[in-house]
Amino acid sequence: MFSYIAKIINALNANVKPSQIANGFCLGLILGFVPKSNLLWYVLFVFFLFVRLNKGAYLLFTLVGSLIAPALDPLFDSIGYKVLTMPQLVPTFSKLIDIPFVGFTKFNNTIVAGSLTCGIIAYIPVFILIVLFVKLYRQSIAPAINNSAFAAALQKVPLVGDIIKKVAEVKYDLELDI
Amino acid sequence: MEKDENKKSSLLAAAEKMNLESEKKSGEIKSAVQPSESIESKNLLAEKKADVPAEKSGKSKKKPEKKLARKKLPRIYKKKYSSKKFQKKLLKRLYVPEDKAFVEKLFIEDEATGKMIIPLESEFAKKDVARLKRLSKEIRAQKGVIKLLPLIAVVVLCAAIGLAVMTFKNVVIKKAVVAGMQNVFNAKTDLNIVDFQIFDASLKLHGLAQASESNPMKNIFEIGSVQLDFNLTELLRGKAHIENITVSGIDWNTDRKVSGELPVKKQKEKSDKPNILVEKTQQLVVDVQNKLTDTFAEYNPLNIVENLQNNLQTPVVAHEIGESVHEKVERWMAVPDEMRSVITSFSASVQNVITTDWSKSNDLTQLRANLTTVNAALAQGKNLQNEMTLIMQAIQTDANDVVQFAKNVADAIEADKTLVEKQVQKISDLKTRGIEGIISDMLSTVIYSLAGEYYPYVEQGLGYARELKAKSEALAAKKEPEKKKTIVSRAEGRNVYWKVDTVPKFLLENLHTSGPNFEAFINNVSSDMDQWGAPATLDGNLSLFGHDHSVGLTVDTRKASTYLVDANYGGTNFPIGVSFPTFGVASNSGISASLSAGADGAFAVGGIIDMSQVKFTTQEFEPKILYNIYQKALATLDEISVGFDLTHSADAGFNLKLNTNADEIFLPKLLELFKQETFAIINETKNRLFDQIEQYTGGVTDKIAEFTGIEIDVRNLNVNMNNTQAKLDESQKKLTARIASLAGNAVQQGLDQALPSQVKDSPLGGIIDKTIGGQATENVVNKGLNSLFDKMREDMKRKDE
Repeated sequence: MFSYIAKIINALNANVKPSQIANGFCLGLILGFVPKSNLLWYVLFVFFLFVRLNKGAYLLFTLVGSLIAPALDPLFDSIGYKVLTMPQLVPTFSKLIDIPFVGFTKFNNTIVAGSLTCGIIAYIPVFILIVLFVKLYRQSIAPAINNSAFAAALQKVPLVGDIIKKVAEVKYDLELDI
Repeated sequence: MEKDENKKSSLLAAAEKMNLESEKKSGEIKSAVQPSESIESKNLLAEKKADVPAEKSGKSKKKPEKKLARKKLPRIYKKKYSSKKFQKKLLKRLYVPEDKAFVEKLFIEDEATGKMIIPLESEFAKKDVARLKRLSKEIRAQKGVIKLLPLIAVVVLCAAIGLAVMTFKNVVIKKAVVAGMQNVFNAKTDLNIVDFQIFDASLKLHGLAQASESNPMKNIFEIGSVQLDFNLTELLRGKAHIENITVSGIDWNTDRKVSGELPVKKQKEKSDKPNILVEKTQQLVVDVQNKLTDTFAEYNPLNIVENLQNNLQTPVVAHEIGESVHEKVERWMAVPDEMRSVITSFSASVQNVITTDWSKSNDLTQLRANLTTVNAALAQGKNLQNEMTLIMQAIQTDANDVVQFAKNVADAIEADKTLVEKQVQKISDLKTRGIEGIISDMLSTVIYSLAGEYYPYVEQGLGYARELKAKSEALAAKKEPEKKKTIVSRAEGRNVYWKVDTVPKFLLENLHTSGPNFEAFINNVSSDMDQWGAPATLDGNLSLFGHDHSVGLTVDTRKASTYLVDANYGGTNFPIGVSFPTFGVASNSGISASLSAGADGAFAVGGIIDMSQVKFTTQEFEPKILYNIYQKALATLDEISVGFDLTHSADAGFNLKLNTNADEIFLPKLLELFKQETFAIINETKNRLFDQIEQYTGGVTDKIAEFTGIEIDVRNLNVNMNNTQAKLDESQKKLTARIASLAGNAVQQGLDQALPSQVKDSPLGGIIDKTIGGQATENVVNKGLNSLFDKMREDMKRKDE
């Protein structure tokens, strides 16, 4: 958990592409929303591993998404049902379901379809927000924090101190790799 | 040359400028870089420093910091960039402002080429090199969205797995099919080719041969090819949807080149569950035998004789008089011989006197002496006659009793004969009531035996059908599984299908199999017929070993269905029969039957069996004549038709109703044959009874005859005695007459000479002669008779004792 947070902080303070961080957050959120008892989740999980993204953000938000998803299941169910019963998509879906192995994805399940749809819909705004946040952080927040007395005090807080230590280890590892 | 010199000079100038600028900017850079150094890195550095030994750190303080040349930098810093590319390749990929400024200041514009470059002579602190390396790595990490190499590796791995599956799938399936079949048939299975196409969703088997367990050099069947098409999509959904199965080139009982024997396995123990139908059959066999025995027992001469035994008078009468007659015979047995000897000796003694012709004798003395002898003999004869009379009277009394006995015996025999005649006449009218259902019962055993043979299979089949229905119903009524109690759980959601899901967990749509004499169609076999909407059906026909079979089967587990199993069977040249110790039936039959079964286990089987070449065999029974009649009547049943309705339910058990013309054929023939043979049966019965009566009366009648013989002997002896006596009388008369004649002549002469004629003619002279002459004879006879009677008295006295 701390390593995920450390990786995120490190990425924020390093020259990691904001879109990679945002991708990590958004794709993690999608995975978190989608139930795990189907092939679709595993396919997405593996496929996202081949996408350049911040793994910390990706895994952390998968966890976060999984935690909040049960609360959103009624929403996913209603949205999923609407999507699956959209007349324009029905022919496609009915053909899709007849393709071998596609059935394992359980895309015809309202929760699966709804969570995936919600994840995709949430992807764009969340992506933009995260990118903006990263930029803002690098431009203003990080320098302000670094120079503040609060940051120094914060280091003494046990949990935050642990995170900082982790981040330092990550960074140190990075330098040793070089 | 000039160009080179110019270039060299410009580079030198640029280097100087750069050095100056670098010295000038070093303060700025440091200050610029310093904020970018994060708090963490500071700490890290502090920690690193703490880890370093004091001596080393002391040395480092003393020694000037070592500078690294440009060539130690990562490649991206050694390249020349146009200002556009410099922006695009480096600066735009640096998002931390401090890092961006740090890198930007390292590059200067080459005056000659106008490109951005880090001067060759540049030297860098070690930590700057490390920083630049980190930045270089961060820049490189922004190459693209997708990591191609790992992706390709995974794709290659998946392809390798796919290739392995494609390569070995047929081998694995072949082994699975062979192992499965060998397990079922307990004999070797040969399979030449297996072709399994995953995406075409088809399986082809070629050259499948199953050896026979009982005859390893024979195949039970050989199949040319099996083509199986299934729905892969449904299979991946966990449903076995077999769209089509075609089995062709089936051949039965073919020869093998190699033995199909497998190592012996431990066989499963057979179920000890009793077969109700077998018990029923055994009960019927006993019933048939009892019925047969009971019915014909009434007409068995032996039984008739035995039954009449108590009603016969002869044995009682014979027993009653037997002893009396025996006693009388014993009493009189010796009498005739004794009498005969006495009479014979008497006759012999008087024979000379009787046979002599006294008329020629002139010797008066001799005549007088003979007369005396004759008179004595007459007297003896008289005594003898008296004794004979007493004997005759005694024997007559016994003879009268014996006559009465004989009459009694004759009356008893007559009465018994009348009774026998009366009883025997009953035989001529055969009562068929007892055996009316005997053929039906025998045929029932055939049906029960047949049903008993196949009942375990029917029960097993119905069990499967009921199980299928129960599963189907359970599936329909399946409750929501209890959710695990977890803190965070996802909703199940709803599965949306754009078509009505009619495919159950298992579905075999079509199966077509055929061989030289065989064809079968199986359709719509499914685990949930309500979902699929059609019942499972089987239609097939088979011609094997001269038998034609046709089968139709429908299994319907749907809720709305009124039946569970509906089947029909038609077969020709079907060897139907039973063989028991007491009777047997063999036939070559055609069967037409139908079966209907419900979910509650009740079922009804109905149909017609057309039996031809029927042969009934029965255990031989007594009397032989009835057995022969029965056999002849059974032999007329060459072709019969048997309609049957066999029902079974949990409450009522098995119930069989037969409708056959066998009794209609059999009974008239039996009656006809019986009538033909009645005379013989009656005669046999009569003879047996008469023999029996004769046996009872034989001893008595013999004794009566013996007694009668004795009586006749005695009577004859009496007659002889009387004849002898009569002859003696005649002799006496002749003698007397002769004596008288001679005496008369002499007296006449004397008288003539001495007496006056008045005395001569008086009767006085005759009387005197007569009295003197008979004295001697009388004495002899009296003496013999006295001794005879004494002996008889002694015998009687001894017997009385």
